Amino acid sequence: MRYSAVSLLRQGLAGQTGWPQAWRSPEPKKSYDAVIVGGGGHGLAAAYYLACVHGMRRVAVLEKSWLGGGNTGRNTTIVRSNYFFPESAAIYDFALRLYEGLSQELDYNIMLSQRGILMLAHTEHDMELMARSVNAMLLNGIDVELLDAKQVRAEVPLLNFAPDARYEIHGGFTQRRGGIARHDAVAWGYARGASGLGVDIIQGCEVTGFDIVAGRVTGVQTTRGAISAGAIGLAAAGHSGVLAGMAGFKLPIQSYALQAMVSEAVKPILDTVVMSSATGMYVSQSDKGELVFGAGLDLYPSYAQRGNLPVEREVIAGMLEMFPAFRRLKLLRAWAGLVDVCWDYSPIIGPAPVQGMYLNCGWGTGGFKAIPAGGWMLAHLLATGQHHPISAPFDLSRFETGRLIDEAAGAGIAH
Amino acid sequence: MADLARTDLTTTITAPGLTIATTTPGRLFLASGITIAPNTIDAGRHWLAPDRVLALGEPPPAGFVSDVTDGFVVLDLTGPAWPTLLSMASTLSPTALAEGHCAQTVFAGLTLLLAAHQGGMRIFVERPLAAWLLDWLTQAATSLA
Amino acid sequence: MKRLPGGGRIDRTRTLDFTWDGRKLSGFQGDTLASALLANRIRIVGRSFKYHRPRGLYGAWTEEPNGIVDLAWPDGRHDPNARSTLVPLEAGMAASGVNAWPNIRHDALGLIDLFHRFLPAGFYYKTFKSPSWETFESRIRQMAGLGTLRPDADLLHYDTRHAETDLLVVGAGPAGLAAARAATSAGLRVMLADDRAAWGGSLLWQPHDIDSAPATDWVAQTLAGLDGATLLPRTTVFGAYDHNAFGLLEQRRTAANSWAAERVWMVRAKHVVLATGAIERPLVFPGNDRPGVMSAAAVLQYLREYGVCAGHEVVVATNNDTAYATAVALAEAGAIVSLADARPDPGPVALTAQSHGVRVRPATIPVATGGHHGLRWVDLAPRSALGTPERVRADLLAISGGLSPAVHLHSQAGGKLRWDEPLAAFLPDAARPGQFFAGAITGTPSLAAALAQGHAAGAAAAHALGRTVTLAAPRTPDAVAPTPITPLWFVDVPDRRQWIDLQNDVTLKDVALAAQENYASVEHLKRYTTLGMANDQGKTSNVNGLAALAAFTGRAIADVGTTTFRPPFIPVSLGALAGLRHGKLFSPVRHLPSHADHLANGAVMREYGGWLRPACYQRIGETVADAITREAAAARASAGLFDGSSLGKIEVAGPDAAAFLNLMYYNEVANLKPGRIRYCLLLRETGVVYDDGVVARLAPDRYLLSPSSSHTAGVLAMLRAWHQTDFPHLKLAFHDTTAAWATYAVSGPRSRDILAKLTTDIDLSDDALPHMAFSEGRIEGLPGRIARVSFTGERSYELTIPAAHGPALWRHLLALGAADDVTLYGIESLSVLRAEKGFILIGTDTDGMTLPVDLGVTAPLRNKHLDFVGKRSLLTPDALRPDRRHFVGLLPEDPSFVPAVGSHARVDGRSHGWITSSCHSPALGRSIALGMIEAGRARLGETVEIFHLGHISRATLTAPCHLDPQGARLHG
Repeated sequence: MRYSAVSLLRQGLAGQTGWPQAWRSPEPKKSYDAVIVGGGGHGLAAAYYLACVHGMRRVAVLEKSWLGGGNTGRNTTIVRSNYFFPESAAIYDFALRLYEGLSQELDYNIMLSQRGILMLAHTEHDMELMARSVNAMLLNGIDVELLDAKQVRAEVPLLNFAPDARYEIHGGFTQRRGGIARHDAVAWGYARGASGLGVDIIQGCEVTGFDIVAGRVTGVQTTRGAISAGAIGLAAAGHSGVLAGMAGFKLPIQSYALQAMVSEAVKPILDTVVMSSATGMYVSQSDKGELVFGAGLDLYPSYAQRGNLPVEREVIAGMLEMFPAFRRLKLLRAWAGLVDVCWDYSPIIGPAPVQGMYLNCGWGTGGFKAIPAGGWMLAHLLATGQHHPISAPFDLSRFETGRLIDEAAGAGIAH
Repeated sequence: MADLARTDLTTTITAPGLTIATTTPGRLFLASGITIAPNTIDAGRHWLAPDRVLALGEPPPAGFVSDVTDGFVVLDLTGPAWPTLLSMASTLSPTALAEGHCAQTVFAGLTLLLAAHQGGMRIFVERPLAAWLLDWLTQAATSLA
Repeated sequence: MKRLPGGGRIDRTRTLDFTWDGRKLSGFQGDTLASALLANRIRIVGRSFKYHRPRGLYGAWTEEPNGIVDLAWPDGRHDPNARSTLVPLEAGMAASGVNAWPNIRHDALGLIDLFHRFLPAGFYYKTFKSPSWETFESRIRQMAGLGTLRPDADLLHYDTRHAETDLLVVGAGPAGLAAARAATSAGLRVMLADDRAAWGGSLLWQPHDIDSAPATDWVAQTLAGLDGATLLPRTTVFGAYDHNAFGLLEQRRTAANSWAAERVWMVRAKHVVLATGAIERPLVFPGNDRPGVMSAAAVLQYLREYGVCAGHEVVVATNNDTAYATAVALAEAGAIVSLADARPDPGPVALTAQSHGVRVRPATIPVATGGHHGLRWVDLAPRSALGTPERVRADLLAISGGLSPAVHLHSQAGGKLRWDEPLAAFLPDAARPGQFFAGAITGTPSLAAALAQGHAAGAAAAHALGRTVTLAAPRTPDAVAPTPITPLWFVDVPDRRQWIDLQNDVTLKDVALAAQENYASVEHLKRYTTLGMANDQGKTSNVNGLAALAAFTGRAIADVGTTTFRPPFIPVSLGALAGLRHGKLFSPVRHLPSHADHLANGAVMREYGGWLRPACYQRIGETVADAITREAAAARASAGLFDGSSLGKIEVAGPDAAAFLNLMYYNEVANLKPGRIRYCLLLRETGVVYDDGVVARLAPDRYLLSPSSSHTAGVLAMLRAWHQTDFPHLKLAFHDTTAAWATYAVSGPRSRDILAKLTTDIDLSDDALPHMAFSEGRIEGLPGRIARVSFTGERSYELTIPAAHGPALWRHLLALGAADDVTLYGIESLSVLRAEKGFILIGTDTDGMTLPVDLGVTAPLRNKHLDFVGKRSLLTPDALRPDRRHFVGLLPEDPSFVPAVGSHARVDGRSHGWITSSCHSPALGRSIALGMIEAGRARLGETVEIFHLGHISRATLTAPCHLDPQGARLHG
């Protein structure tokens, strides 16, 4: 059934009895053409594109818990494509363009709000690095604008321009096509789309091992039985290292908890997304009225999806330095996701060291904004066995050749 | 010869139950190759690492010794409220600063050395950070009113 | 509703005036805002978030979902979303309803409720797609949110405390008090926290005897006997974190000196007793959101705590024993009370109630309510015959659906829960290490059990710390075993709305819809319907919601499970969590020894790498750019004086110092002669240039490293880490002496003349002190060093003396140099001088990708045969490719145009690199630049397009050094 105001009207009169399931919950079959491990945004998007772009429908997504319950359900919902290198611009802007049409494509309102994302500069040196980034982006065809302090103040008057501010605001740059989207809706929209096209989404199904014969994967062992498949995609953020271990190889990633927080809901007070390099924090106001914010990692490797109070307090203090007006708001909830960080802050997409197995991981703290593209690329790999031109630079082999796509360095992080 | 006199930071902060005062207790030396019990003060030598101390007073006679007297500002906290101030600034328990003990720890966001001293607490803060720390202490002390 | 003439823990002699929605009202000292509103018969305190239905107070404490108000205090404090049940009444408060227009009594947006059937849970996912969400977004945002934030900054300071303790007891009800009592008797250090001002928890509202005395006496005696315990009333333990770390929010009694009334504690406890009690959950039935429907436990609290009787004609509806206490108390206060019990045989409690004049109807449940702007009647029906209700007049319906143990802290720290079918409650499964449970959190129904559990928990904590408790457990007469609860998760009548989440307007039908659409996991339910996500954090809705989900998906409640509880337990203000970290105190900054002199000399101070340093010394009438040009010119014409005290000074000594440093540095350092200085690069394992700086050899076994100011701590950490983890057998040690010394540079053609006037025993002749050498000795009687090292390209001397004497030396050098036209110069001016010479600035000309080959420094890789950090990374295919970006100079075509730093070289439509430094060069009288350009060294002489924000200019690639490439000026 198509979702629309008309269907809401009809169903309203019918006591909501006609709404069908958003996705099926089938029993897993014994074999599929492709199996995707990880039912988050990337995995579900990959399944959707496998079905609708490549016509492959004997596909299963295996999710150990409930779909969208990993990082896709835990992030701060920011979308943007203002990255430094042409390779990054290609993949993230591809994702953003897909996001722009996604509500229509999936017939599911993902609540994309392109309200702009503003990154602040706090010293002259920051401004110089920003100019370098802005010019790089403009030359890559990404629409960004460099702003001086006066222009930043006009955009977001609530920012801290007081003389006793710890970090003076010198200016910043904005991508007006950036903004936020409703993270759960992205997962649910892809799930509904994929399920409707015949993809089996198997929740509560944890992969416990891989069947590998002569260097080629032939299937998976799961808590719901064995499933054979010739093509396996791994899209399980926070768990990539564990899965790789099961398949007998290592990944150059480290897993950390990344905390995120929401405040209580208030009437509209912040109309754009703001990020600050001085404190590392990012904040936006959801359509429900809550401030959604976060900053840096809890810097000890961990698989627990929770961080600790000292980092939380530091994140909050950093945000309040930018927005003193928020001091009286109350923290409503704090949680964490589990991010797989690569040295160069770029993902790993491509064939795994095991034949027939393909990776889409290592997105670190930036996976949500890339979901449509990550899914597209993984689908392409699963369907053709080859890289899409956009994903090729992110191949695992870049760690041997040294040809990193170093977005950390691009952003001026000293490493 | 010109008389290049010292410029030293001297200040006192008072609050109910607490006095914070700069002090010049003597010369200070980093000395490596000396081992004492962890987190203890032994004849003026404050434990920093398994093989390194901050020696107050006389320089150790041998080994790798660096005069860092001018590198520190030393603050003495006295009065019954010093543990309260410590609890504002640090996760370190006041019990860790029993007589004869010292600890390097994070205090008001700085890493520095704390030492037990005559029933109170002594702070060794790196000279460039002293002005900022004193601002912090001044602000924190007003909460004791 | 009315205030009783006596009773309650309020002070009727102290009247407090306040306003509500503009009306002048009053209450008493000891009231909360909520109890004062109730006493003043305010029935409507808010409007629900989605449908704007009128809402009255439901609860009395943290569980309250409806009484969220805009609150202003006379001293200027403001809270847009104050929970009225938690706020103590103060004179002069101004409170008003939120999320309504024009006001909550007559909210025009209440019309939305008429369309509720078209606005089920998640309706916004099904529409608003065309033309796009943004077409509708701003109107919908206006309707979202409760209160309105006032943007003026909160000027208060928020306090923080850290503490560690043997035992943290959370909750000072009977179980918590018993635990604290036992533990302190064994000498444990105990912290006892309760979120109320008064101690005793559930003992506050019901008469009991403990150890043959009234409970209130027992509470007072117990508290008095807690030797050495830290007592924290009005303190909520809001978060449980790893390793028994807890976050606490203390409401202080008074706020003074601009310190806020809120203080956050971070406590690390060896053991914790969770005696957090249980929260009453509502019954779910049609019309259960009408103002006048309240929690039975809350009604009892309003009576006992605040002397407010919340109704006169009261119906109590329950499925368990606990609400009977409310019924009896109300009857004793003079209300007309009837009670509907869902259970067919309520047992002894019913008899007791009847003896107090309460009419009890067993096997009866509420099936509808009515009344405009507040409850007027309730329909009660037999459970077996829902179609034949009896209408009862009532202005208060006090409901109880059972108790949900407050397991939040256990769950936050990763603890698991199990569903107990007979108790109809989620209980903590296994205790985590160092944690104990006592009281209602374990589902225990009786006071005797709570006291025993509390005592046992305190004793167990003591035992774990090697102590014994000899005290006997407190005793209370055994109570009659309660009649078991009959779960009543909702009423099986279609087509009438039954509310599960009052704040977010989630109904039973929404849960059914979620189940129908296969949002079947409890997390999907929560996110799809927003159940439990309002600022009451689901305290009264979570369990009812998942029980309904279980029913609709044909599963047992145990299989549905709960969502993960997340801190904080109650909303905590961001200011309190940020604590003392704000404004200038947010993070530290370092001062140079001559800081005061720089200010006196008119320095423009800026922060560089955590140090405040002079950017330049701006004179009256000149711009910063003018100052920079003047200073740079003066340094080359006569002499400049620069404060370099922030440069690192790491002494490295030991027989293996040379061997170890050779492993660390890119350059060869072992063959450096004593008395000599070498410019060296330090790489990361990735081969990236991490820092540059000079290395001086003082003796065969002693070096002095000079990392850049911002990298000193990082370099020291790197060296220590390598030494301790990979080369512990090498004998050497590191001393960071950066802060102990002041260093000043005298640079320029007249520098030698200025130094000649110093009283020093150091031989300053070029033979004794050539470029890149140093000598130790006495400077004006002080121990020190003079080094010949230059970042400006001019003859330069760096003088180092003990830091306390720095300011005096600074002034002395200025005086000595006056006749030689010495000029103070700052970092920005130095940057111009070094740019003219093509010297790199780490982090400006280099970034996290720059390898030594990019800078043209290739000799060590060719010649140093030993291994060193990063060597392997310099041999990867990417490190060896010829089109890497190289460090080059650029000369703009227009000599008066200074291209912006960050401009890119655009060739064939793409970036070939960027400009890293640029300035007007006083020495050359024209603009110059430095940059990183693809294969730059092979393209010298080529002219490229320079792109900056769409503006195009042109520049020619050159070698980086624009001035005196032979270095003659070093010796001039």
